Amino acid sequence: MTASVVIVEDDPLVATHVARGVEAHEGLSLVATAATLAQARALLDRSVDLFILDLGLPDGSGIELIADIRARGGPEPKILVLSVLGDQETVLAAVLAGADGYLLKDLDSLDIGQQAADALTGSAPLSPSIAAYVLRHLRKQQEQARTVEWDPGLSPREIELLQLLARGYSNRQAAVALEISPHTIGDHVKSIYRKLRVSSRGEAMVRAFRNGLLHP
Amino acid sequence: MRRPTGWRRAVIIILGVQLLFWSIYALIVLGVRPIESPEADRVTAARAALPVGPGRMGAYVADLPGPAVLRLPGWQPVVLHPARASPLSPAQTGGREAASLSCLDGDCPEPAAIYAGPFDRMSRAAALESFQRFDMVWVAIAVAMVTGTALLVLLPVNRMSRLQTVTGLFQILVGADAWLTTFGAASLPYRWFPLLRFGTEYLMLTGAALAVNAFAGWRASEARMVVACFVAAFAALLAAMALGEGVATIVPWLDAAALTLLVGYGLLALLRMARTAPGPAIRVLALLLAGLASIAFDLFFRPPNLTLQASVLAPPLATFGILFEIALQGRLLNQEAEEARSDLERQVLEQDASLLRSSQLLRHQERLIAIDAERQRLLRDMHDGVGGVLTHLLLDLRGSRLTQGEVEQGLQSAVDDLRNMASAIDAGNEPIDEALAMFCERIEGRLARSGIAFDYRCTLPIPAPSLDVRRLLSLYRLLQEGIANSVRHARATRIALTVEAAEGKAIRITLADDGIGFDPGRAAGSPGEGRGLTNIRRRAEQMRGRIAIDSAPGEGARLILTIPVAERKS
Repeated sequence: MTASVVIVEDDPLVATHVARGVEAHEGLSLVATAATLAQARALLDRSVDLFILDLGLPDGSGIELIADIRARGGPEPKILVLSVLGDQETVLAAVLAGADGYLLKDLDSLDIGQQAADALTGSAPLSPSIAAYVLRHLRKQQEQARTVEWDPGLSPREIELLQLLARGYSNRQAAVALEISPHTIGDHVKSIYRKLRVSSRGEAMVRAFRNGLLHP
Repeated sequence: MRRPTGWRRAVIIILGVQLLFWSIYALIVLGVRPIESPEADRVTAARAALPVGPGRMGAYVADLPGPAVLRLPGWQPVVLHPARASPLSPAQTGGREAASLSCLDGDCPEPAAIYAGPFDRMSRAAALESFQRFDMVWVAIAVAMVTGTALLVLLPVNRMSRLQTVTGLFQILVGADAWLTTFGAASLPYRWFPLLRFGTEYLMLTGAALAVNAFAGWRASEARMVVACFVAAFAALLAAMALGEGVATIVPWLDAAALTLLVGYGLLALLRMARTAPGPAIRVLALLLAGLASIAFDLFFRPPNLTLQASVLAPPLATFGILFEIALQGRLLNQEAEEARSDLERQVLEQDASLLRSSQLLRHQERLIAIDAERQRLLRDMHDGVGGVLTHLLLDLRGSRLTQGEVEQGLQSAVDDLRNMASAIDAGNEPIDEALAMFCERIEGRLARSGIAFDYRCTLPIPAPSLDVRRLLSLYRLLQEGIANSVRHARATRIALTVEAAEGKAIRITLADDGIGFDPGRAAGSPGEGRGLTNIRRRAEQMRGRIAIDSAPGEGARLILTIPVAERKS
């Protein structure tokens, strides 16, 4: 039983590169490729396990697509965002809209397949960069507590875990540091994902973030 | 309620003052009127003989200036004192037929008002005179002194008002003059006493003129003329005393002249005020009319049985008028001060707002300048990194000297440098452990693909210190260069990056590999490797750090970088 993957990317070269990575992994099968937001929306009713999507689409932002997918409810399917630089604005906007992580476009295709499969099993820890971005976002929120309404509502334990992950700790190292089992770490990470994944208010938050309103 | 204006107001004030004045007069007349008149007991030529009554008899002479001896037919001679009744004793022998009065010093009043009758009645009549002649004067002196002193003491309240100063001095002079006139001659029996008494009197009139001046709006020239008049009057007194003439000859003239001048000046001042300050002028006019009405009443309408002259009440009325005016001025001053204060407050608030605006503008401009400087730095950084890599690549491609692998490597390093810039911009001024973890995340996968194990260990305390964007970018580039050296030249299988705190607000970053190593002394000049080391030293300098390169052939290599950091603000 392989997981079905949809790639949404308007650049055919990148789309081909990613597709090669997906097809090379035995646990994944590519079911469709979309080059526009409209094409991707047409695929929403199909049973898909993983979306790999670009944010800069000719007819809109991939963020809207993430919101559409999440609006249908539940943590499925998984969403990975393609990024050239892996920069804070892109990644955080995607994660706050409900994405599970990001892929750098220049990754080796084997790495792409592996990271996509890791995202599906949920075994991969929250990447240090995402953890750092979220932490930074939380810190900024504290500094301007009066102006920002949105709060992912992370527990102190989850923020502690984010700190460790942001320092580059692996799941196992974090489990040792927090004196809990690696399984519990996985639960915490899933909870963090779930909390970051918000629907309407999250969308507003992302809009504000992208418009630079949240930058100090 | 609308306040009446113009002549209506003037009429209301004038009538109000008249009403007030005559009400007070009526109250006093009704209250202080003697219960009985002594006229029935008056000793006249026709009624010189006094029948010997059943009770004690006594005698009393009105308006005595000093002790006097009274002789009544049928009674023993008796000594009388001013405003006091003396008991009479019947004479044993018949004496003269007519009554006679001889004063011991000075002249007796002519005609003398001699009363004889029951002692109690005489005593009451004498007490009334005593009250009118002496006690009232003491009351007047006390009132004048107290109000004068109070006015002077309260000067600061009215911000040293000139009118208040002059009026206070005038009141004190009034008190002094009253004492000197009534009691001074008896208390100060000196030759120069008249000089003191009349000097004080003219000084008091001078004070009155100055008060008028202050009331009507101070004019220094008029004040000087008033003082000159006083000096002239005093010089005349002094001359008269010195010549041994006595002051009695000139005082009536001086009095008439001073009063005429004062009244004339008062009228002039009133005219002046009517133009400049109609409000106070109307109040003064009202007082003046009350005074005139009282004089007219005394001259033409007063019934003979009313002993109290209405004009006696005019000076106290004037005093109260002046006090009222001073109080009014004080209130106006306070109002003005209040308005000035709120005006000042408003100005201060406006100033604050404008300061805030300009400081915001300034901050905005500073930010623009900072952003501009940041753009320039970014441009230099691009030039320094990705720009140089891409240019080299392009030139080499034109010369067709490159293999596909070399092109890929070049492009990869260009993309890496772009990522370093993006990451430095994102993580600048954020905890350095997060910034390095992100770097390691990027580098780890690629090293793994090349079969190189990568260890990362950070033992900085939480929260870790931070580096600004430029220093962080230099650190990223330094590490990228060092790792590239390890991969390309050292044939390493394991690379370790360690971050720890160093002595004295610094961090130590160690990049170690297990490669073939090199001789740092020789490597500096050799191509390839040397270029990398030169770049590494330059980056270390850019971030104000110290770099130690520790390696020997076959021993692996260690780059030890120490950089000063600011304590993170918590």
